[in-house]
Amino acid sequence: MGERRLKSILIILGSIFMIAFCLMPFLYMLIISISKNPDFLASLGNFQFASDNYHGILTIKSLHFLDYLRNSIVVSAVSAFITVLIAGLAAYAITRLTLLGKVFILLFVLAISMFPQISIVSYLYRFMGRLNWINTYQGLIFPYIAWILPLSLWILVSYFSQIPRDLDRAGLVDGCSKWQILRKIIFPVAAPGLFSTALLAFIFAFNEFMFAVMLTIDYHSRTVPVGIALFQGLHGEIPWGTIMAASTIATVPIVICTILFQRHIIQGITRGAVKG
Amino acid sequence: MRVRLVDVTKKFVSLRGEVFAVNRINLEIKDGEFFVLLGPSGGGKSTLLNLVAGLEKLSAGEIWFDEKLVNSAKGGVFLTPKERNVAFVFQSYALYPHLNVFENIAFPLRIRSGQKITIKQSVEKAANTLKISDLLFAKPKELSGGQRQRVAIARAIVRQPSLFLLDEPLSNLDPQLRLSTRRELKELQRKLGVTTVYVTHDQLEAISIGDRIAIIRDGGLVQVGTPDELYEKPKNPFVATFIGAPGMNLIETSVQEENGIYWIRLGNKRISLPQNRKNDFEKFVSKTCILGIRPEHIKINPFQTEQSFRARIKSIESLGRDELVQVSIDDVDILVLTNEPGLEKDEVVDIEFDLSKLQIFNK
Amino acid sequence: MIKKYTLKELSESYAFVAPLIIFVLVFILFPVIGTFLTSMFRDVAFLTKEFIGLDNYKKLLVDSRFWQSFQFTILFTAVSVPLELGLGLLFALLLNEFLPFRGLLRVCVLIPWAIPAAIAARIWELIYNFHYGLANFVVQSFGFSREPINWLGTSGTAFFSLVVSDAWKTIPFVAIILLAGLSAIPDEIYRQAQVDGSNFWQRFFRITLPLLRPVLVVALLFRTIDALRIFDLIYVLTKGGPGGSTTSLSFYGYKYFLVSDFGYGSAVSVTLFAIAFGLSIAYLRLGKFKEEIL
Repeated sequence: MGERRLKSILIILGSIFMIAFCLMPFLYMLIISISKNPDFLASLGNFQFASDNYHGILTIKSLHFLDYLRNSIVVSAVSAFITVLIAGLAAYAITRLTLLGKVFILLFVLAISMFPQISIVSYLYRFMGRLNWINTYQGLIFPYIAWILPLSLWILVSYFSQIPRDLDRAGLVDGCSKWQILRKIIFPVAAPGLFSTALLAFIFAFNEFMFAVMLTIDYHSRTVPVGIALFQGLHGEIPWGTIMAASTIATVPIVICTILFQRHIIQGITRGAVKG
Repeated sequence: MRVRLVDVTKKFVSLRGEVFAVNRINLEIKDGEFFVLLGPSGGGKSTLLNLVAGLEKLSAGEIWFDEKLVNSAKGGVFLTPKERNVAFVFQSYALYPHLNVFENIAFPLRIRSGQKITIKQSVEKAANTLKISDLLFAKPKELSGGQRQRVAIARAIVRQPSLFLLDEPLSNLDPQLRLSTRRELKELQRKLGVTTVYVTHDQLEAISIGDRIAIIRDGGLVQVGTPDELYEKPKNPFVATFIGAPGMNLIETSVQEENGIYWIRLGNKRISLPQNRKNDFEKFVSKTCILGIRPEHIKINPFQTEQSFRARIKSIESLGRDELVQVSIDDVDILVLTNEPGLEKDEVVDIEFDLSKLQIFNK
Repeated sequence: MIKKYTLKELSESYAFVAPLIIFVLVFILFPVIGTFLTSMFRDVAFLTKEFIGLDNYKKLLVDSRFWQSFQFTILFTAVSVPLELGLGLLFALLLNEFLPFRGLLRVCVLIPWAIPAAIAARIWELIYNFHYGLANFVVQSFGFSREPINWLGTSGTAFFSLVVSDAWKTIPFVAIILLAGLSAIPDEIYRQAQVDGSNFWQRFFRITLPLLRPVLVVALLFRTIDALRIFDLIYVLTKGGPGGSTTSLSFYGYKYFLVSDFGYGSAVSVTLFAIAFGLSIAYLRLGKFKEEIL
């Protein structure tokens, strides 16, 4: 009995620590964002509710927060969509078709995803410069697609290989071309998998930092993480309330998405990693 | 439609080397025939069916549909399943999980971009034939195994194929349903008159449903014939034991000639073989050979005769109407199918072979 | 012999993978090759580009700031990865228990993963704020220290702060994939072990850990490579300071790119690349784990 009791105490303590550790910074962000003064901890009990921070970040044009947000959403959404499409095509060929060097492609792509971004970014910077794509959406979208493809491919290969082969063969007998099999059978059947891959791809693109720092200049294409990272305020003192309000606006939708689709996301992470 | 296979060969190249899944098979399937490919699992019969369907490509040989060459390894000819106009029913049924029953059946028609109205009519007709009209708007996962199977068949017949291919379509059904569906399938095939190739590993199924049966083993063709031919004149011990349940008894022995009469010895008794089958036994004289006799062609006698053996009953297994009795003549075990009442274990009985049904094989 | 129709089929299949290959080649592999080549040039803005062979690398060898960031990167990886794996395993074990609100707990753990690293860094920056940050509030109210600590201002505490914020951001990933590994272990094995009279620790060390090994190695590999290339956190939290003590190799290379010294920056990047590559190979060798990847 002693062991069991000890175990449940340990589990409860561990869980409390786990929750506190994971949630505390997030909650701190929320609280600061609605607080009139970010220093209320120093003079205890001095917390005052205020919505000024939100009001400021959403209305002051020169902060460009809404521009950053729009850039992030457009760039991430387009990247995620195209990535899933391209990865879907490739995963279909790898799991279903006669293809020499399947394993090589998978391993090559895996190796690619392990390259440090820093060893890519300088060349990309000059490449984009030559194309005049610095500070444009496409200048971010193309590298993002390439950057997220490996993960998406691995996830989708894992999903597609679970779809019975007989479905393809039935489609073939029913008169489908390979393209039709993909479009009318594999994609619809794998819709949940495509969805979680797209979700992960979106979050990855949304979180990306180094490419965005190098390849954007101003609010025309700068993304939210860079915007918030470089946010220094107008008059010396760092406007923490405003930054936290901006952070909240940028992260809460993603967090809500994560909560709503946790099953999809967890599956995506585990398929991308454990199989990879 | 007539299907002709010429030297059909399929090899798979893997890291461990080449494997011949199908090796030089020659066959001709007649127009309107219900043709069964029978054999143990992994013997290559499903691969053969896939080759006919166009789901796999030949490594060597040719396949002809009537006078049309549909696949030739040498000639580089390959027609897709669509161009061959074949229909296929899979063991797993392979229903599209995201479409309802109506759309599943309509799928082949939609791919061929038929008229909306005709599609609806054709689907309803096929559904009627298979008695699934009330399920049209259910999703596959809501259906029972038997219902799914019907949908799969409806999807296969809806486009009026010139060849109907079935890969173990009944093996996922429970035994009772299997029996009734078997009968319906046969009826349906008669009604439609479409040439049908049917793969199974169940010999009972093959015998009851097929016009002709080809026995495939280790990628090769063992024997082709009507069920009766296979039952009565198996070409070798494999076919003899594979067809019929229980299979034929195989007894190793030799044939002796004495005064123009052929004898066989079993234990310490010998019996004479009928004169009218002399031709069958001639070439086995003084050689070890294998005798085959079906359990149902042995009877248990109430008394001893010239031609009977003494045997001890080792076990009795009831099959309902009949009993399957294992007896031993000295060291040789033999199965007997009988409805003789009152037999008991360890009883000594006299058994007699129906010598007109006796088979003899090379060792 | 390849048949005519097999050739046609092959070319069709490659059409499906072509977009993937093209994207990866143009936007990842070529840039990496380009960086390799650039590292052999003197390639600085306003100067003519000149091939100098391995001179950039020779310069690295005697560059004390490079060695400082090399040391930091290795040390950071060596400290943060085991910590993250340990805590991640702990969290995974907790999440694998039959707790009430299990789904809710799982979501809590996922939240840090979903937040962009740069934004997370900003939150931690505030937490470490000298005057009114949460960290000093906690430390002082629990009596660990009477004076506020200048978390990001001294090299030791800055290192520690980075490790903690990195752990916060990445433990969810570790926990989630280890959880998947844990739930793949059949319950019967534990029940059998219990029947055989083993205690909790024996079960953990004799069953859980060995069976979890493949997943652990995957997590180790992913985390190591990620930790080696740490950038976002440093960019926001310390800018490499104080005194260059928290400059990671990624950040060091970036600083040279900023001033348009592409040749030298590329040499730094290639070095980082080589370290990551070498470590991955070593892991795969050590883990004997080729088949587990596939």
